[in-house]
Amino acid sequence: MTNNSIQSVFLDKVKKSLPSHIAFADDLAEILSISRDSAYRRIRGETILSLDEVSAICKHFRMSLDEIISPSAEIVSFHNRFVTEEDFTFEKWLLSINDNLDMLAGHSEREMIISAKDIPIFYYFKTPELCAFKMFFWMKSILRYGIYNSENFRPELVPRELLALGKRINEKFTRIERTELWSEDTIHASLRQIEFYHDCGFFNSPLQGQHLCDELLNVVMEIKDCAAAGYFTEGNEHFHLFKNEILIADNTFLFKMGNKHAVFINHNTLNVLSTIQESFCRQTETYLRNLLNKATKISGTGEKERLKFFNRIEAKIRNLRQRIS
Amino acid sequence: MDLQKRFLDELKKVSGRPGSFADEIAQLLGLSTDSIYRRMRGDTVLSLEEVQKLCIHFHFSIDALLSPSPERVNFRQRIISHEGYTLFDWIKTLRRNLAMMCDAAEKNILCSGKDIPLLYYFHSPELASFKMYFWMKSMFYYPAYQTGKYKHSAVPEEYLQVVSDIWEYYSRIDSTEIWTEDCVDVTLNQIEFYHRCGFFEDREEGLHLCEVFRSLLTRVKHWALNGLKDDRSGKLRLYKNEILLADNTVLFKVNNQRIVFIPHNMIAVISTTHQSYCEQTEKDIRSYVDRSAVLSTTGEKERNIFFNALDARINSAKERIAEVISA
Repeated sequence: MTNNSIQSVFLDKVKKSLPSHIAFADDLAEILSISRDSAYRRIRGETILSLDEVSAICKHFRMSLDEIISPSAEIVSFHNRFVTEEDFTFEKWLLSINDNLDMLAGHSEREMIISAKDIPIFYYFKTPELCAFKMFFWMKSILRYGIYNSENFRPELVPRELLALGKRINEKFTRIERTELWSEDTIHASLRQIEFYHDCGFFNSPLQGQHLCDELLNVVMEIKDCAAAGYFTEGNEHFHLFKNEILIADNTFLFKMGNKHAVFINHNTLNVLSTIQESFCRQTETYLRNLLNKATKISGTGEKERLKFFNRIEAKIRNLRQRIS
Repeated sequence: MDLQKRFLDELKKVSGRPGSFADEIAQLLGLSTDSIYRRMRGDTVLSLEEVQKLCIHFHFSIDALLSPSPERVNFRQRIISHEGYTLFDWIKTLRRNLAMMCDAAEKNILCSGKDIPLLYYFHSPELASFKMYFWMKSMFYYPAYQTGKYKHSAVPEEYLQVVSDIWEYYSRIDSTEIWTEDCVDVTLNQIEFYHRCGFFEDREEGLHLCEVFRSLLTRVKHWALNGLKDDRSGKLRLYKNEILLADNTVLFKVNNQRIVFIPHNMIAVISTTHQSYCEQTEKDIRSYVDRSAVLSTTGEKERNIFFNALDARINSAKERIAEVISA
């Protein structure tokens, strides 16, 4: 067996993921319940690893063999969890987002690229009213939580812990250096939701809808100011905003941590398909960078385009506010 | 040796000719059938090189076997590009799949989309041609389309034939579709974009395509009224929904098999037959249907309001295009 054999590439990759003080052969011997000598024979390629052994190693080190044996394969393995009222609840979903942001923030070399069909939800979490509205909307109207079935929207119906968690997520998110690609339609979903609640009589007073429009406008105006500055918080984490002429098809998040990638595809409103498969992540990155190349940068520079872009969004919000008054 | 046996058993299930499975993989691995039987019995360990060859050949994910989890869903992705798997290959695959579906006893399509299900564009040769040109030039970056301008004849005739067949099959299959008022925006936006960039050979092309689009929607409105696509055998159950953030998810149901397609960033379509994933997706779409307004057969008022709104969007797009022309 040569050094280029898949077995040696595989074991090499495992070894590299270990801290340097760990003796790989000992570790391997323990995981596979074999002698140290047998472990060495496998490392040297004299003994072929069985699939059962490969499986034990993959599970222990959280490795993907697909990634090694078919880097350009057509099969992509995603992690998916459907959000439901009982099992993987909305709260657990928020916690998993929180964990993902922590994972990214923990890396010294990190980057986030977002193509946003809708405004990244984390922005809404800043103001309590808007945060409560979005969370209530998702739980009542998307996830159909039984407890909200016959309830109109009242911010106090949303548990405080969820709002607090939302706020933490918002703070973590805005601190991360990131590049976002928006189109003018990026605001539509939220406007629709407010309009829908107004039309269905899910607000106790029209003032609620108007107030949410005001808050939405505040959030958008803050994003506009930060785009002008090129950063979000006083620190020096950059914020790059681009606008796209061609409509954006979906909400995709790309995380880069050193030379590792993760892609999150948002579909059916709240569900998230995520993968760390390198080939898929690379393709997604190439695609996003291509889009960015063709898009117009409206942060830092491009004042005229930025004002035009945000003026139109502002007009859309004001239109709705007027309509529901 | 447990997993090795299970691995080969799984491959046998997906093999096109399970009867001569041993011969098939013997040939693939360049081994004798005896050696294959030794591997099947677990007397000889498969090397990872052999595992690799088998996985690639059978489009099999080894991870799903090594670390199975209900949360892991494998998708098959096809990236479309000017070389390798091309747009032409993709539409031919779609035609083949729909043809097969047509022959099945029970078949149904469910779609919820931010955009009109793209099969509708295939009803009109002019829109089909524009859409395919747009994809080749501006999505898949076909080098041959990077220079030159759009005219109907820029798209090969054989492409149009394939998509016309696709429409023909589609119109014979029952479908349940959720549309939104935004569903014309993607295409109108593309037309406007080409107009502003000067990518149309004929300056009037943009306005003309808007009119073609309008007449397509007028037909769809009529089909919705009758509940039949193109007055053929396929039932159309059309709904509108304004609040659910629809993405373009399509679920095909053939007898008891389900497959879900999700377009990813317009460059690729990912699909899966993962059972629980497909079942949950179907449940979700059906629950969206329950919360949507009916536009087909009944719901005359809603239908008129909806299609008038689409019409108004076409008018605004035309006005914006005309402004550029007169400027």
